[in-house]
Amino acid sequence: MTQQTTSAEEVRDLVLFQVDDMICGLDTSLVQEINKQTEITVVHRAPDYVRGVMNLRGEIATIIDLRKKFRLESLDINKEMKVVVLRLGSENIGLLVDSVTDVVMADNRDIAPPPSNVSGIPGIFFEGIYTMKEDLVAVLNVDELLRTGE
Amino acid sequence: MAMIDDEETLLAFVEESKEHMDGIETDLLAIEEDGADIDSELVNKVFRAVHSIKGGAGFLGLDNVKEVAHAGENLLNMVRNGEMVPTPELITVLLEAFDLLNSMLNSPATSNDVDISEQISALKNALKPALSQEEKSTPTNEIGLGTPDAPNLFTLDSLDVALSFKGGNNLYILVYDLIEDIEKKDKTPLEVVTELQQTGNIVDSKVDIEAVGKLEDDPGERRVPFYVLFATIMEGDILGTFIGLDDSCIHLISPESLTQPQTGEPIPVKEEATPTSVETTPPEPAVSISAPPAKAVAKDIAEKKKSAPVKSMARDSSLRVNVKILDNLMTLAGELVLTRNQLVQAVSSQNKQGIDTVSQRLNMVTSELQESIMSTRMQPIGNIFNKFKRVVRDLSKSLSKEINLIIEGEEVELDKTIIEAIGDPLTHLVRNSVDHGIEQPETRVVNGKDAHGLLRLSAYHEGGQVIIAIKDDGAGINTEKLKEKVLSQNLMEQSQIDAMSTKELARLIFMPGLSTAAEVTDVSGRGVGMDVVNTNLTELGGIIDIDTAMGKGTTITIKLPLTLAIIPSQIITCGKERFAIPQVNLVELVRIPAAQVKERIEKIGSALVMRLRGELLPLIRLTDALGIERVYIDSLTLEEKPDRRTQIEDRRGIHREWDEKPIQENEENSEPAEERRQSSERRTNPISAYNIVVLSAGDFHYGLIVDRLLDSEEIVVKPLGGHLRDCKAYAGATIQGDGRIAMILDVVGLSKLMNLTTVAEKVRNQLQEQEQKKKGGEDSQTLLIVRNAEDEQMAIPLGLVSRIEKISSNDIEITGGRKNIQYRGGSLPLFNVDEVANVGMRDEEAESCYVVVFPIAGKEVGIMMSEIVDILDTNEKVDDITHRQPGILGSMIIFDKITLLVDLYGVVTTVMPEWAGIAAHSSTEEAGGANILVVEDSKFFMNQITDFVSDVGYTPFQAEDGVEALRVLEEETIHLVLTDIEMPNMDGLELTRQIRADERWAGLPVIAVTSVAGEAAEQRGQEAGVDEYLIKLDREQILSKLNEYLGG
Repeated sequence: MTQQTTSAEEVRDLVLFQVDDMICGLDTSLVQEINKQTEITVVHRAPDYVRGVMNLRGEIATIIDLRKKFRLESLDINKEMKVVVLRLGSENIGLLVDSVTDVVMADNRDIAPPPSNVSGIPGIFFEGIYTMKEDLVAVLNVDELLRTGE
Repeated sequence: MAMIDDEETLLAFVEESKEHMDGIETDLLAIEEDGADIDSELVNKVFRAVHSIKGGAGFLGLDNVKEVAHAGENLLNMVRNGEMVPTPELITVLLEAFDLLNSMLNSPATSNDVDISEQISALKNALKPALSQEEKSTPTNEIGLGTPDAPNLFTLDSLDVALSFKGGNNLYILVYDLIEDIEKKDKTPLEVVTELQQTGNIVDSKVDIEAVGKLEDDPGERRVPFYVLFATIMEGDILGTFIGLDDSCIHLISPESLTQPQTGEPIPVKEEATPTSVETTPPEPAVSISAPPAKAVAKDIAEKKKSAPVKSMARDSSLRVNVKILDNLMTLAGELVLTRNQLVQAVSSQNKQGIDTVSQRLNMVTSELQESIMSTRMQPIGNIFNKFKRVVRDLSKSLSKEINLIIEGEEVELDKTIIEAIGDPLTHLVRNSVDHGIEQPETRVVNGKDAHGLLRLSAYHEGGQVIIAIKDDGAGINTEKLKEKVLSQNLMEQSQIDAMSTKELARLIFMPGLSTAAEVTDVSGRGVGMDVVNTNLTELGGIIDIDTAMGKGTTITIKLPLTLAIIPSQIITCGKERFAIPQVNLVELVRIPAAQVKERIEKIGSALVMRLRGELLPLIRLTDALGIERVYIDSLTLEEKPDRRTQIEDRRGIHREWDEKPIQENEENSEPAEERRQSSERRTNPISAYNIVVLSAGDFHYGLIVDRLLDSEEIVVKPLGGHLRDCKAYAGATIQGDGRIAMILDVVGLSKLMNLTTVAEKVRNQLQEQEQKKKGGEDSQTLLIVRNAEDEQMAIPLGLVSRIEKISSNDIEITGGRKNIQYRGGSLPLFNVDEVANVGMRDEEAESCYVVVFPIAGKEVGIMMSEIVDILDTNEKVDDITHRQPGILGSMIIFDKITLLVDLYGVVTTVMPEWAGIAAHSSTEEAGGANILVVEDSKFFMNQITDFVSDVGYTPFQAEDGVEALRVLEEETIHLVLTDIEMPNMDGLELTRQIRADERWAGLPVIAVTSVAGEAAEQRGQEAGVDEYLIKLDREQILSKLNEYLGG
């Protein structure tokens, strides 16, 4: 019983996905779905990191290009790419990622606070860095990442 | 179970009461208006409404509500009986009381904690003057009323008791048993209350909890008495049968019995916890366990008071819907199911025709269903409009203004959400009109207006939208002051302000940050919060328009969509994407064929404009506005290719003669030669026509160039996420039938994005210039600009010219020393200007020349010219001295060049003097002595006309304008008037009217001579009473008409 409580507190599930050569992680509780469909309608005059909008079963989801958000070159849509859909308040937001790789159970003790920047990307976008075997996973801070009105 | 019942009872009561309250305000205001001449039906209506509220409130233990309602009821009763006149003061007291009632009904749970003393005493004070001395003298202490078993059941103010007896009423105490008389008869207490109210007044009521037995009592003996103090005109024996209550339960209270205390006991004071009063009795848990529902009502309310979780009544969550609509929905739902079944069947049997039929049916059912569902959301705008009666009344009172409010179109329906959302903006606008628009009565009288201001609120349908207009006849908006404000606050540049129209200036009040508080009253400045009004309405998809005239009034017009969720839209494409444009903003669709592009589309500065029915319309490309790569459809392959043209008016492949530069093909050099050739053709290919959507962005229109126009569709608006909120270009998105997303364009946003207002200004300036031109234009004339010698420019009044022919020099024959040309079976004599006038010689060797044909002496002649340059309108002054010579009337400056005005008649008559005789021949005989008044402000034309008139023997009199003409008419005997139209002081039309109005000159012929012809001008002339309408320099025609009028 005690054992279980501890693990619930200290272990969390992370969805891992690739953005350029970086592995990012996102708490599964935040993720609504992972969508293969990548038919995106371009929205002209939108901020550059907004790839467009998508029809998510009758609702409009704003698609954020994580590469652009991280000031990397945007990629043309390919088969590997996925949209990680989050629900933020009453709106749907999709994160366009290069590929979704895995879901892992991460021990909170293995998550270190983020450095001031991760490969040139402001550390504010990350909640921490999870060390997994030889890989480092950047755990995303959704609130900062999706903050509007910048 | 019981809990739900109670909640429902309370909810039902609140909802019903609110409904009553809604009507009360309007009715009270109407009662006020009627004054002493009361509409008893109306007063009764209000009375009944208050009465129901009182009854229900008493039953539910909402004592404060009951008391206020009761006091109000008393007052209304006096009004109803004609014992009091509904003065504005009285109505104010009542309105305030009902406001309080309303707010208490909004949160019934806390209503008993509200302080009502102020309103109660106000109501009672209002009542006092009407009471008789005797009634007044009754000490205002409390009287206990009761049955023999239960004395002092009710404690009443003696005043109330006295009032209850008024109008021949009997007072009864009715004792119901909630179990036996109500529960077992399948009634609800509320029903009983309603029933009673139909026959009389419920003065007070209460449920006796103490009398409820204990749990251990025999269930058969348990009873819950419900006492009602009831005033009715009915006699006791009838009453029993009527309300179905045993006579033993009806106790009559005689007025006499009240004069002395009923019992020796001291009269209980309200605040004291008497054993019989519900409101202060703490609920006893022992009772509540087996309590029947009705009892639990009181208990539950008591509990609510204790724990006081302020639960708002979430009133908006329910909506009253007409049963007819519900029935219709039911039918449609049935049809939908049926259609679904047919569809399933058709699909499974692969019956293509069946599927077609079903899909049609589905289409129909869906639209009907949609329509019906929408109609459940529709509410009359009167719900809001009627609130303004009160607003206007109160505000005008406090500002001591007199305002008549006229409300029109209350029945117009709008979506519930819109109705709710426009309340505040409308209130603001109405307040503004009352506060700042309409002046004080004294000021109005001084300005020659009715002391009563007029405020008109109207709503009507127009083109699938609802228009709301707020019109006042007040002072209007002082745009000068607005200008100063804007300048002093540095919100705009002087130059921007100068370029603005009055309408635009008035719109400045919507400018954020503009505070005009200083210029107007201290209540609020016109303009304060107006930007918020504008924003709110724009968010609703509304368009606000303002029209103001200093001293005359202001009209604010708001266009609103009927509903927000589903809007009809035009679907268009641009680049690879589809977009939706709300039909509300759409004015028209224009397709400009490629061949017409150069005439219709031009540039002012760097902005594109389009000519549309004589108006200039700013144009933007959607591609530019959205930063989309421009594509064109290749006319041969039908492929979309990037378009590298930078300007629409760049018409490569079409030669422009005034374009000196060689045609620039450089930018296309990278393309293969063959493709280049094709692409130069694409400008004229039908596929490269321009599709323009003309849109309304509030106070101005603009055109949006799009790639293709698709269907118009009803779309469902989906909001955009926060990341896209700053994109001014979109109002939302929609999902189309194929699952693709189309962005909805924000028409106003786009125009702002492209800074179109400045373009609109420029366009307006240009229009003004044109207008200016036109104004002077009545006096201007149309000239044919020609050249005889290469460097010498000449002009011929176009009005005299029959036609222009191009002839080959070889066709010219010389007969009898004169040049002629065979023409339409006869010969046309030809003349050269240089034969007569000392001007440059025409190149006789040229292969061809132009002949300007005109009539003289009953035949046609031609004057040869080497070149036709242009035709233009000018009001350039004619200099009739410097270059005057035979064949030349004078000169003027056209295209920065001295241009000689050719005297067509002079040329011909100098060469052929005998023809002048022919021309005048018929008239000379009779002409002697006929006096002709020539009215003309231009010296040049005056000389021309008087010259040829006197040439043929008439006596001309001169007048420079209509005023002078009338003076001449008074003094001289005039046989005919020849008048110009455009003149200072009094124009020709007015002169004609004056002449026609005077008997002395009844038969006087009036001939108008003007330089502009046209049906409209002629029409106006005829309306004024002009006999003939002729062209100024058409001597032939004028002389023939003179002859016609004077010869006979």
